[in-house]
Formats: sequence, C-alpha cells, structure tokens
Amino acid sequence: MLTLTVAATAAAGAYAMLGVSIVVLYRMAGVVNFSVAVVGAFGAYTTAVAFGRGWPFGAAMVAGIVLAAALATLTGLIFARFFATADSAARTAAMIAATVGFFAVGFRIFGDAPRSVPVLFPGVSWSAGNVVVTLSSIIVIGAAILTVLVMRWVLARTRLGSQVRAMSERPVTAELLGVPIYARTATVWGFTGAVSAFGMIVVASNLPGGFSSLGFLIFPAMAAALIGAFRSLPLAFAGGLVVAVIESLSSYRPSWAEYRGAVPFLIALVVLLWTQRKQVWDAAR
Amino acid sequence: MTNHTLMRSLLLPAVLAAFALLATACASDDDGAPEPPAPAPAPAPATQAEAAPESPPPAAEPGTTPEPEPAPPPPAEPEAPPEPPPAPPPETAPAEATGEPILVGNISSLTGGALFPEASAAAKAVFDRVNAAGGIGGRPIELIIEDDGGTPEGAATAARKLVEQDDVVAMVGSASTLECVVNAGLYAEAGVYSIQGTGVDPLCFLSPNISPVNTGPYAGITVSLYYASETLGFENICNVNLFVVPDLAPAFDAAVARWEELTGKSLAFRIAAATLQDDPTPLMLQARDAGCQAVVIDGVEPHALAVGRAIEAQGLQDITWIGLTSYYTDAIASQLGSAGNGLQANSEFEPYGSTSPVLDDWRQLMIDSDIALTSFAQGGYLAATIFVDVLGGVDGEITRESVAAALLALDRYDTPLLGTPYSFGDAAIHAPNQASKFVVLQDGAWVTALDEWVVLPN
Repeated sequence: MLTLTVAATAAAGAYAMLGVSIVVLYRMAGVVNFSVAVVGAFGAYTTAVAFGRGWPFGAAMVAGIVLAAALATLTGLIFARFFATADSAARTAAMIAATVGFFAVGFRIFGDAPRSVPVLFPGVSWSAGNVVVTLSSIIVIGAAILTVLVMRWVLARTRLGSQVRAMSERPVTAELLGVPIYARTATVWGFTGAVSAFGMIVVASNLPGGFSSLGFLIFPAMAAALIGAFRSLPLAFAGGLVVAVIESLSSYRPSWAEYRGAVPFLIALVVLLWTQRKQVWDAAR
Repeated sequence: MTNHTLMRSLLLPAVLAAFALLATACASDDDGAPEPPAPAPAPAPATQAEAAPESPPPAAEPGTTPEPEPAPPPPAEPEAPPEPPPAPPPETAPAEATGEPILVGNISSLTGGALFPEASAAAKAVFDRVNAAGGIGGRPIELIIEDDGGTPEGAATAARKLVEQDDVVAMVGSASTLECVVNAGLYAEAGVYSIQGTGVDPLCFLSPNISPVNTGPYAGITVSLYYASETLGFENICNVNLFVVPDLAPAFDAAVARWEELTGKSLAFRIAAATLQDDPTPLMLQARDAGCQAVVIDGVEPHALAVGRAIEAQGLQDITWIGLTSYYTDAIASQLGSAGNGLQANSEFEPYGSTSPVLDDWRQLMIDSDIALTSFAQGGYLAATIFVDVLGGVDGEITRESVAAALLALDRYDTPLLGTPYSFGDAAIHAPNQASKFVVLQDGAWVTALDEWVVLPN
C-alpha cells in the first residue's frame, strides 16, 4: 500500500501542477483552460525531440518549457484580444476549439508514435525497504508546492495579482484604468504554460502512451481542479495527489480500476456539496 | 461569483470538453493518414479478372496440385542473389519481367497508433528482386500495399479493394494489429489466402485462410513462460498484462492456460493493467511483493520504455523481466541505454541483430533497399520468400485458385529463420511458428541471451 502510494508521487506532482494551473488561470483570466495538458504535451514532446537530436537534457527541457509557455501566451493573447468581454459560454467554446486545434496540430507534428521523454534525474533515488523515492518525484512535488505558494502570494498580495483579477472581472474598466492588459495576460498564461510543461515532462517519462494520451491527462487535471472547486489552490494541489494515488492503488483490483476515472468526480461532488452545506435551497440551487 | 453561477459555468465546459476531446480522439485517428508510401500504380483490374474463370476451383485435395517444393532455397546462402525464382524462362531470365503482373495484396498499419511499415517494404523488396531477375515465368509480382490506418474501417476498406477490385491472387506479408479479425471472414468467403507477416489479433492464428510466419503475442506469452520455467528453471513465475484490449483478454488467458497445461505448473501471480496508457510501475511493484522471480510482461513497444524505466527507478533488477517481441527494437535499446540492462524479450525469428549467416541474404537485401533491420522486416521478407517459392511450384496459370491450391498443399516449409517449420495446409487453424529465441538488453543493445530455439511441445 505504502509502496504504491509513494510510487504515485511523480504523477501526483504532475497532476497537482496541471490542476493548479487550471485554477490559477480560471481565477486570473476567467477561462477554464482545457488546453493545459495538451500544451504541456507539446513541451514534453519538444523536449523529447530535442534530446533525441543530441541536445543536452537541460537545454532540451528549457526549449520544451519555453515553447509551451509561448503557445500558452499566444492562446492568452488571442483570448485577451477577441474574447475579453465575451460571456463564459463563448469563452469556453473558444477554449475547446483551441484545445482541439492543439490536439490536431500536435498529432500532425508528432504523430501518435510514442517518444522517449528522458527521465529528469535517472537513477537517483532513496529506498527504505521496498519503498523507493526518486529525486524527480520529490522535485516535481516540491515544484507543485512552490507553485501553490507563489501563486497564492501573487494573487493576494501583489499588484500583478490585483490587476489580473481586475482584468478578469471587468476587462474594459481595467483597461481604462491603465492596466497593461496584454503584458499581464502574457505573464499569466505563459507562466501556466511553463508550469504544465514541467509537470508533463516529469510524468511523460513513466507513461507508455503517445502525444494524444498525454493530452488526455486533462481529465485527471480537471478532476484535481474540480476538487479545488476552481477556487482553492491548496485543494487543487491535494486533488492532484488524491487522483494519482487512487490511480496507483486501483491497480490492486483491475476490475475496479476501470471505474477509477469517476472517483475524482465523486470526490468533487462531495466537496461541492460540503462547501455549500450551509446554503439555503435558493442560493444553492 | 456565487456558488451557483460557478457550478453552472463549470457544467457546460465539462460536458463540452468531454465531447470535444472524444471527437478529437476519433478524428485524429483518421486525420494523421497521409497516403501509404508505396501504393503500386493500380493496374487495370479487368486484365486480371479474365484469368480467374478458366482456372480450376480451389482444390480441397492436395493431390491435384503440383509439387509445392518444400524449402528448396532456404534463404541461407550468402551469395548475392541466392533466391533465383525457381523457373524463370531462360530467354527472359536476366531481363526484367515484363509480362502481365501477378497482383498480390498487403494490408499493413502505415499510419495510426502502432506502425508496421517494414513488413510490406521488405515483402516488396523480395518481389522487386525476383522481378529484376525475370519474375515468375516472365510475369512480375506486383505487391499492392494498402494502409489500414490501425482502424477496423481502414482494414475492411483495404481488403474489399484488394479482394474485389484488384482481384489479388493472395495476401502476403501483412502487418497490422487488427487486420485478421476484420478480414478473416472476407478471405474465407472469397477464397483468398494470406501469408501474414506480423499477425497480432487472435483471428490471425484461428482462421483457415491465414497462416502467419510470426509467433504472435499468445504463443509468445506461452513460450516466454516456458522459457522462464523450463529453460531458466525459475519457481515463481508471474505474468503482468499491459496489452489490455478487451478482445484480446481471452487469448492471453488461453496462452497462460496452455503453459500451465504443458508444464503442470501454475503462475505465482498475475495482474492486468486497466488501460493501455497506464503507468506499469504499480503492477510491477505488486509482482515484486508477490515474490516473483521471473515476470513475463507483455505490451506494445512504448511499454518497454516504461517497463525499463520502472525497473531502474524502483530497483527491480533482481527479477528476470521477459517482455514480448514488441520490446525487441533498436529504438527501445538506444532509448533505455544501460537503464534497461537485463530486460529480456522473445525473438520470433532468428534474432535480427544476430550475425548469424542465415540472415545474410535478408540483411543485405534490407540494407540495399534501405529498410530498417527489424523483426517486422523479417516477417515481410519471410512471407514473400515463401510465397515466391509457392508460386514456383504452381503448374499452369497463376490465379487465386491455383495459388490457394498450392498453399493448401504446403504442409512443411523449412527455413533456418524459424524454430519450427512454416506450413499452411488445409487445417482449420494455423499457428506454425511455435518457437522463439531470447534476447537481452545490455548497455543499449540487444544481444542474444540464448542461441537455441525454445520450442513449445505439441
């Protein structure tokens, strides 16, 4: 039980990073970013391709992260330019279109043939009995925690945070007040793109799938964000851990494992019900 | 934002996303499909059709067919053109064959999820060489390669075109994960026979019209378990099933049951992944905790990477891990490097990386034709070589019926590339290749672990 829980650490950190990215972007830009996983997959595969061509791993990883950040920034700028005042249904539809586009382009570029995404720190691990902790899983969990702390601080305490929140609530007013909309958008989206690419690079080296199956990690990521009710960064982080541990433990019973995809959504349901337990019927409806 | 507007705004995206992502998944299967690399120019079907009616019906009795010449030129000779077509007319022998082409079909996965491009390319290389040396009685063999895109619809369309429109005389060297299960019925109906290069789905080994040259994943599991228990002598043998496709599960169960029957032993532990994309680490840790000494672990090529990395990251080197032949590729070896040390896999043919002289002809032909040296290329080469020899034994007109008769009479074809003789014949099912050699990863290269065939007893 403990071995499997610990073995899930790398995936847990990656899901947490993706989930936190979704929540950050939702709070800052008012968009549910479905493309976070597929943009991260672009980063991971760019790293794999560059590494395969003989780049040093560090340079390849930077290239992947920069590319993912650039793609996310581009998406963000398009949203800021054309969908700043659109209602949430229109933004969501546009986001889905962008996600589908990323899948199509990525599939065209990388094919669905799996590529070897190198391991972050191969062979560096500590073991106690049967429990093995790898350095890369510690780093990714640490990076996820750091992301949560930094983003909480940015959102609550900094001028950037209040400007970006103003942009998401009242875009026109914010612009009239002199908030540099495009620069702020680029910062936030670029940051989430880089974070998701890093998480994806770590998790991709353990998984046997191709580009599309990496992009489909949007499901555990959405589950993590949902557990955070799209508001709480620590809960989204915890959501990522829970989803990964459930995935790992469910391998004890293959017949149950088929249904494990639904478990995070059940948890999210419970969380939502719990957080609204004191609402009267009218408000909670 | 109040809670209820939050919930409403989340519901729509969630539902839309689910549909949108599903749609992408489906679309991308078809999307990524450029034209197959070498579709031969479509010949006029009419010219071929007129040959068919005048030939005899498919002969159920082997006696009426000409001598099938079991294994006259095994591809062992190291000389440059070791396989002259058995009977090229002397006057055209050195010249290129110019007669009416003999149309042969091939359905392979050239785009899509799991790619097998080398088998069809290797089969074509064999035919091109025969054609350059005069063809079969002056007639060139033309291989029409169709891409199934890894989808059932693609496989069905390809087979309809080849069987009904192109009127091919036989199928040779196909390599696909699902071609047999889709098309076995059509082949039986149309009297078409297939020398499969790489058969994966269970129907490849359970149809009267298909006889693969490869061992396949099921006999592959059985022979790997047999190797672990009988050759290596381990007590606690386990099986981790990563190649989880619902239709394949019974065939994998049967493969394990067959080993249990053959040896009278039973597995210490067996576990299956929930989906093809799962991280295999938790399953492998459970195998370790169950006290397994040797684990036969299946999967497609990318699983090998995940398995090799889990072995390294979790320190599982004390266990002997035996993968399927899908692990046995140069890409896996170079990407795992020394991290994969000790990982074994079965080789369905004489290991493609070995320096054995029995591979000289194959190796040279593949290098000359610029085809990657893989076991899929061996399958395509072997299927085409067998087919050329079968054609050489056909008396009179070469038609679908006369080729069928010759294949039905082929009850033994010896070749050093296989551990058991190839055969077709008129049995209800065919799985002639019941043997494997074993290879092991060492510092980024596959080397032969055991240079003897492990043959499953009947």
